[in-house]
Amino acid sequence: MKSKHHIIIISIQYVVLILAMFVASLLFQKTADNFSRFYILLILSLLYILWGVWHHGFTERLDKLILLEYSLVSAIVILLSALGLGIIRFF
Amino acid sequence: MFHKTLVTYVFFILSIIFINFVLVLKVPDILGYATDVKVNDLLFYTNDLREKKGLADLTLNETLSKAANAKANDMFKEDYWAHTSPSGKEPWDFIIGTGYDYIYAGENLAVDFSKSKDVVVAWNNSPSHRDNLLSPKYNEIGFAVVNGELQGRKTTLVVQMFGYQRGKAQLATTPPATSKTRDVKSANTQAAVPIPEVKEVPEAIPAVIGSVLSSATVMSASKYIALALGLFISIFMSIDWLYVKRTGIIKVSGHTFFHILLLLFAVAGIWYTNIGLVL
Repeated sequence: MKSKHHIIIISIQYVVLILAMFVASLLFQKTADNFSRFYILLILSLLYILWGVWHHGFTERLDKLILLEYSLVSAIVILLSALGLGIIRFF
Repeated sequence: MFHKTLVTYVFFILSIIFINFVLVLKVPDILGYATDVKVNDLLFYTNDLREKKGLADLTLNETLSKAANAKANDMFKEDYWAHTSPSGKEPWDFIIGTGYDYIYAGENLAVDFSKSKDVVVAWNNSPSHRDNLLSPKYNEIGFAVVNGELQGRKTTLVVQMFGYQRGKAQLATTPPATSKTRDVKSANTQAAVPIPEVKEVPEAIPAVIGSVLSSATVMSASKYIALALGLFISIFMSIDWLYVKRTGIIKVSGHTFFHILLLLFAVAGIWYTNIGLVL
């Protein structure tokens, strides 16, 4: 049975993730150029990996495959952003 | 089951890389130009924005358009994407070079757009460009919509130049001040600015019409492909998540719900963004 402390920490972790997305959406609206928007999505994706490590590390379910899963999802988001925002043509 | 999910993610990544390679990097090499960006439409949408803010319409000025064309051609010739050329030419140099004696002048640039409305919307979404669009200081405008090869890819460049001409009653005693900003103020503040004569609207510069897909159209296609892929992957993840929940399969994995949330956030961001660039 999970302790109250455990539930509070997990709730905070979820709130932190939602807050990060909210801040990213505000920054997204403030910027006008595609490069800045791509960097916002890139940073958010990298923070998502760190969040995954923090969350699963706390719940004692962190292993290489879970880390790989979060990395792959972040890679999908980064590549989609590069394609969708027209950034890939500069590389 | 978990490994199959990871393999599927790897497959998605490889698909996106393949699409990037074929669609974005290779296809523009074999395509030409076509654009739906037209001077008349750019003027219409610009003045429409100004009318909504209670500002007077800008009049299309042939001399300013010639200056815009000179700037566009210079950008292609010297292969740069900036307000100031590598050789140090400022936008005001092109304006003065065509004989347009201005009190106020400004410039907006755009590249890789396929529709006129998208260009003006992108400018309006950027505070500094919007300042130019909605400035009460300007009364005339010029456009250039030019096809060419810029930084290795075929594209359509849009140059928008704003101006307010010095009237004949003005004393042209001091040279115009130059500034790093796009809005240039004159050093002459002695005489009141006279209301200029209403000029005949010059014949609109004909739109450049091509026959095949342009880099801008390819970029638009890449945006919609990214959106479609993003939604497809989100739906795939949702089905996987629902299946696992319903069948009660114990799967040691990350939070699929948050994966979907992140992906949908990226999809929303791509949807919100115009594919072209403004400067």
